[in-house]
Amino acid sequence: MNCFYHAEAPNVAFCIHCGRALCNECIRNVRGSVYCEPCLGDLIEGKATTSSTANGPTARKEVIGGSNPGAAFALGLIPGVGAIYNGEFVKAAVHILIFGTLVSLSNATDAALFGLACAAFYFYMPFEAYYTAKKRMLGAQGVMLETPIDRLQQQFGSVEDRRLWGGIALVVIGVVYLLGNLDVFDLHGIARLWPVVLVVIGVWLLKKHQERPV
Amino acid sequence: MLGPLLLIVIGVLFLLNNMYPGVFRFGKMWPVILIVIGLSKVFEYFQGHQEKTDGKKEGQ
Repeated sequence: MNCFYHAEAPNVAFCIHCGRALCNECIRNVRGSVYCEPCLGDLIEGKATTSSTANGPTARKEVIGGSNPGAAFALGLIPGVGAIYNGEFVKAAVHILIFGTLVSLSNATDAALFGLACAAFYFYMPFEAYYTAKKRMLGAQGVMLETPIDRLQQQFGSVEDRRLWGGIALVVIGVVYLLGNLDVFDLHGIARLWPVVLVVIGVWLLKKHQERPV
Repeated sequence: MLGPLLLIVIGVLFLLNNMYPGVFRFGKMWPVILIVIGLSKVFEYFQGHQEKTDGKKEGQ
């Protein structure tokens, strides 16, 4: 789906108020929830609580097109299909790509890490589809829902932070595999170190927990 | 920006695979794709930062 305001840009989020697809430029992040600019304007002027419930739903329903959370979950058990059901084709492609990569990595190496990641990602997909559908359904009724998926994403910091650390992680993984493939060092020897990843994630989560203002 | 870059990288990898078999094998060189995706993400991050600080300077 493309941005409602910029037809050439792919959407990265939906306004939780009107349900329109928004590109990177259009999203307005308010306390972890995404809005579009017109909706924020309405909310600030105080129109939203009274008038948008009166004239909003008619405009919203055509955008949402009724995806059923239960069906989204069931279809989500087939990798990528849940996201397709929700109309998020780019997300579906990315999900399939990630899942396929994880499966082939778990076949290629004997480290249990990728098997675990595979299982985790397999069950992440239907839940993600379920909550996306539910959020949009409730959004159409004017109810904002903060889903566990949103909370999980907030754990990883802002969009920009995720971009930086995701990029660094990809470069590190790529370099390790490249050097392993070029026989600079033995990949199987390195693969034995995989539980270190679990330790690092644990330490990172603890650090995050301590930093959180009480 | 990532799409064209990826196509070029994958194209070059397969080209090397075909032109110099035995030296560059796609089965060996594929992690280059991961590295390129990662680098472009990091690059986007710093570009975003620069634009923000530039905008602030212009604003002042």
